[in-house]
Amino acid sequence: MSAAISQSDRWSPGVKIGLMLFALLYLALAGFWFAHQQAEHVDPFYITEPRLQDALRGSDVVVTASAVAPSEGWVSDGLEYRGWSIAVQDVVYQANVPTTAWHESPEDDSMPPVRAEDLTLALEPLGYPSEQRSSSVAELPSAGEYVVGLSWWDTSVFTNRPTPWTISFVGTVTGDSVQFQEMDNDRWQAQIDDVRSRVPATASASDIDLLEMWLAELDAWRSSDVEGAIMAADAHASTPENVALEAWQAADPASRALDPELTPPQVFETLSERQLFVVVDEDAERTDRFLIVRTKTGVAHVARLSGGTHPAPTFTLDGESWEFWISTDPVGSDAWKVAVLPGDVVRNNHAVTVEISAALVDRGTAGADGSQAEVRGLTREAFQSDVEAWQAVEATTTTTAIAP
Amino acid sequence: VITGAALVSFWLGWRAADALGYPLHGGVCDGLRDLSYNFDGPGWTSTLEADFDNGADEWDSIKHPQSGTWTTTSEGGPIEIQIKDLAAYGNTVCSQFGDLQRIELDVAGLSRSEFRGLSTHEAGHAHGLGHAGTGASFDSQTPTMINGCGQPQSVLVSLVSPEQDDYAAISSALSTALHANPSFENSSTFWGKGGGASLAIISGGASDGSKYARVYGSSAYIYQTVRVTDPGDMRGRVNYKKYYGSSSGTIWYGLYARKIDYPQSGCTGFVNDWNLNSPSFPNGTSYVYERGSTFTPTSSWKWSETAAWTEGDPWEGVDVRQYLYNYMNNLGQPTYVRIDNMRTRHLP
Repeated sequence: MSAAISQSDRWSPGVKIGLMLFALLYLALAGFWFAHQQAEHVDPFYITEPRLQDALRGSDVVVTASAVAPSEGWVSDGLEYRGWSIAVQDVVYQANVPTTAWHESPEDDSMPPVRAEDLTLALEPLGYPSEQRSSSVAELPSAGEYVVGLSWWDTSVFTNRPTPWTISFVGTVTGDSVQFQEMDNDRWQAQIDDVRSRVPATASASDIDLLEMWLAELDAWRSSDVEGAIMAADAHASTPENVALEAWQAADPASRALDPELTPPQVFETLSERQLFVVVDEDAERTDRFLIVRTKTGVAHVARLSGGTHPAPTFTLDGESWEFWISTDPVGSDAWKVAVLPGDVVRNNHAVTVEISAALVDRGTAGADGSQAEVRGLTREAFQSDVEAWQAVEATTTTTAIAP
Repeated sequence: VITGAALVSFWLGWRAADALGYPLHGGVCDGLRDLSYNFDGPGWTSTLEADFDNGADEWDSIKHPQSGTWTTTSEGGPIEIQIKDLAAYGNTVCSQFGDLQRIELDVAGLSRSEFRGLSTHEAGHAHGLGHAGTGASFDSQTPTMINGCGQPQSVLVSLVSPEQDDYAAISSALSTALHANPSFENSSTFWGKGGGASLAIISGGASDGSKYARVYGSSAYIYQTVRVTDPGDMRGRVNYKKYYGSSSGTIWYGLYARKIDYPQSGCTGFVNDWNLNSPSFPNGTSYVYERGSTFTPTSSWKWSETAAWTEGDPWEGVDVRQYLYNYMNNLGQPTYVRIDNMRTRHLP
């Protein structure tokens, strides 16, 4: 063989095909890897169920229109926008204070007075394709009268935008009422009705008139930071503390907890703390049995009996009797009462102790022989003495030291 | 072929690793302890930049149990912060391999304090945190990392400073601890007390320069609750020490729990499609006492832990509350005990 034989001549056709397939596979995998390296994953903070006020707050202009038709869309850095051509009838609202004014950008005072003929194209953001956000404008009927809220983006700053306008909400108008193109129109309508019931000046206003009043309040709030009557009424309905209190009041007392972190503060501040000392006989330490202590106001304590003897803080209304139940579940759906401690006994003591014996943990046994849990009030000294005696025994059996 | 197989398995492996975190669901980004960024694209003003800076910096107030903080935040690095028209408030954008690429913020319709809260939220994603539920903090505050699903826009104001679940998320993302401020470096924040307890935070803990809690009171107690999503087996752990060499007695560590189920969600950003904002409590709303352990303090710092606690069936979430009772005496009188670290942890 000559030294001049080329390298390729040294390999058989089968080897060459194998090498080519390997190279192709490698390139394909590299492309696959590169594609996924470049693909984006988005973690959005997206308010999917905005309150009506949130939609109104994002509006610099509100118009009525006779048609909203598909137009050319826009894609920017992977974000998709659907375009809508708007035949404006009337500009019903324009903010005196642009929604972007607070950040002192050049566009603060550059938003021109809006003329109906300026509003021919608006964008509807659909996000990244991976978000699968659908168009609500596309659900509009083909003909009708519309009300459209628009936010303004300064195209002298955001230079690649085809239009300054982004749709913040849209609805169809029938007579005096508005049907919003939202996932849950009924919820927005309920918010309008709630405002009407709380603010007399809006009681007889049409939907459109009420929206204008609401928008005017928001406009004034942006410059003064003072809430109007409509904003205050809406805030009351959406304040978490009010929502939590109403839910607690509506709940069955047998299912609501008397607890510093679970009871609404307005209720919790009326409760008094006492110590409970639960003594569980070894024979009663079962994983499928629970002690439930409750009053007319709520549940003061729940314990799985397999956890054994323990102390517990309790918070109850002074003067209420305590009921002690054994149950096969922590909810008390299959429970039998084993003791009651009158409210005056509770009130006159520092602590309460209850002893759970094996005879109490089966419904058939409990009470059948007259057995009831022993419950009594304890002075501070008696409670301390009982707890120290219990701990003296526990200290010899359960301490487990470990490496850090 | 081996290289190709490695690439495929690496990709599949990443997919498999996109699982659950705790107390929050893991974010889409792997997470950066040190977030360094630049303001990119149009729309930025000095006000917006300052508000983003201040919002993102909030995370750096969460102290590490030994020294310093869990995270740092600074301007001048590669992560791009952009103003975009999203109709979605904020996005954290990562590569499919979890590398943080940029943060996108939509200012339209936001007030200044809402924008700052949004900035804190998105910076939390940059540190690797996912979303929490509205009830996942137990100090009556809204966690910074809540999902916006079903929330009014005004909730953004509440996100400005990290809350209990956010503290717990940082420490659980970067260690095994499941509680917020478990070693009292952020003073007594998030710790409750009762039974007449007095609680003082003092320097001179188990680690150099660290702090500890001095608990006083006969049968007095401190407690803290944490929400754990996708729980497994867990234990309680505590590091403790006598206050006086002549004192004697015990401390008692109790664990309470309540089961959580989540409805399916139409919201984006939830692993398993759970709506963390609307949990239900199939075993009742009350916490159930599960188990307790007694420990005897000595004159040296000592770690102890409870027996393992396992839920009966695969729960989607659990609220865990830990109590520590002080039963120490000195010369016949109630006295102090020192606690330097107290938390529940997942078993490995």
